[in-house]
This record gives sequence, structure tokens and C-alpha cells, in this order.
Amino acid sequence: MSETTTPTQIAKAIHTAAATLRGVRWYGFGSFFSGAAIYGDIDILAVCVDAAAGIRARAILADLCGDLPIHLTVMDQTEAKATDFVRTEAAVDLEWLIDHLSQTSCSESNTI
Amino acid sequence: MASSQEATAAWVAGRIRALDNVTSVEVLSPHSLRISRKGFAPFVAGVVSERLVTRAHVEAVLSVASDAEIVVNIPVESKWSGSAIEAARQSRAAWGGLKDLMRVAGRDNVRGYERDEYQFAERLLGQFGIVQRIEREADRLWTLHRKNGLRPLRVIALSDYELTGDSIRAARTRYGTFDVVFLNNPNGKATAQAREVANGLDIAILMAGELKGRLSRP
Repeated sequence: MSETTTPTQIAKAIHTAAATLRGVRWYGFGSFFSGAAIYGDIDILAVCVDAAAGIRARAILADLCGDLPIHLTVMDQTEAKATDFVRTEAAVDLEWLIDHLSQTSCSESNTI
Repeated sequence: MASSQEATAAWVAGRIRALDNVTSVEVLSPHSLRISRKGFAPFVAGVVSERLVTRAHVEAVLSVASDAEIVVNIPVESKWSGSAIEAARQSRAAWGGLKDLMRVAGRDNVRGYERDEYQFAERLLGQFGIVQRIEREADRLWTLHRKNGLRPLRVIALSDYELTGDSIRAARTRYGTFDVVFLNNPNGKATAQAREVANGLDIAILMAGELKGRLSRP
């Protein structure tokens, strides 16, 4: 777990989770995702279609949460809308990260 | 696969070095760090990385770092058992997570530290006249033994700003059954889904001012 493995580890875990579990929107918020050098935990939000998807999201990220100080918030879409959580916490949509990794792994497999 | 403890200790050292008031961090062992800071004496921190911190984990750390003034567990999605907390307290060591280690780095009295939310919950729960004694079951969970033959109540203190349905389900998975969620954040709110999940599990979600009424009922 070096300085560079933390973002890579998170990116890979989110990428795997996104591939395994469709219909979940992943966000990052708080100090870590705003680029601060000092952070006590790493805040991730999963907005899920329903409660069952939320339970699966927790299960998929269990190993990551066991390694790093991840604070995982899980909401269903109604809760996310009612609380306006994404806007008020200035949460960053991690979709770009997932897309980026998908393209990387695709080009890597093409190279191979 | 879980990271090695050596890597975890080195990673924590890197996080603490980033603090303005910290002058150096020395990794003493896979389970301990010495932190030097401006204005205060250096101190030793014990480090574990467990989903459930037990007495055995705390004792193992303190056996190799007997001068540790705080023991921290890195995963946030984790639980400290009551006996682990007791073991830390018996050794006059504070306990907590990475955030707590960052906070104590700026304090003179490391051993006397306890996270504000836990300190407040424990004080509040113990002060009600109907409560004979309180028992710390885990970091966020207390059993309140009540007078007048009333059955014990298990109360969990959650500090979420937005308490969601998943917050209740996750707490239930991690801590087992409980009767009351004490929403230990004056600005915290429970979503409709959180109330629905709680109702289904026969759990009351209460703010500080609502606890007294519930404690006097069976």
C-alpha cells in the first residue's frame, strides 16, 4: 500500500464493481477526492437502483474496505434525490475513471 | 487480498507525515510508529488493520509496543469489540482510527483522547435516572441495564449526516440486533427509507432529546 497504490487500488476496485454490478452510479467525495494531501478517510458513494443492489455493492467492495479507510455510503436513487447528496457534498462522478480503465484494459488486451 | 501489515504501517506513516505539526514518523515495527511533532513530546502509536478488533489484537500490539499511547485500526468499515476497548483502556491507551491518530498528533494528552461522538454518547446514555449501568458492547453499541425490572436495551450511536436505509442494514449486519438507533449528530437526518428499514426491524431512530421517553418504556 504505497502512495500510488491507493488511487490505483480504488480505481481497480470501482472498475471491477461497476463491471460486476450494473445500474450503480459510483461517486467520490470529501478530502481525498478533492485532491487534499491530508485525509483521514476516503469517502465513496454508491447510488443503487434498490436495496439489494446496495447490499451487493457493499459485498463487492468488502476487500477494499478491509484494506483502506474507506467510508462507504450507499443510497438508493430516491434517497440520493431526496437528500441532494451528490450536489451538497460536491461528489465526483467516477464514471470517467471506470471508462478510462475499461479503455486501458481493452487496449492492453489488444496489445497482448 | 489484504495488504501486508508492513505496507499498512508504512502507508499510515505517509499519511501522518503530511500533517503540518508532525516533524517525523518512524516505523518501529509492522504494528507501531513513533510520531514526533512540534510543541509536544513524541508518542508511539500501535497500528492494526482488522474488520473486527478484538482484545487479542490489542494485547498483541501492546506486547510489542508496550509504550503505545494510542492503538488505531485502519479500516473505517470495521468494529471494535467491547473487550478490545477495555484492553486499550486498561493499558491507558487511547483507541480509534486513522482520523483519531491525526487528531491526537496535535494534542499534548494522547492517552486521554476519545473521539467526541463516543464520549458524548457514553456520557449521555449513562446519565438517565432509569439507567442502572451501561455496558460497552462495541465502539458504537451499548447495552443499557435499566431499573424497575425493565429489560436491557441495546442502543447504537450512529453519526451519519444522512442516515440511510443501508446505514441501518449495515449496522445490523456488523453489530447484530439493537433496539434503538441514537442519531448522534445534531444535524443528522434519517431518510424515509431508513425509517422504513428501522420499522421493519422494530428499531426506533431517536435524537438525543427523544431518548428519555423511550428508556422509561418497556
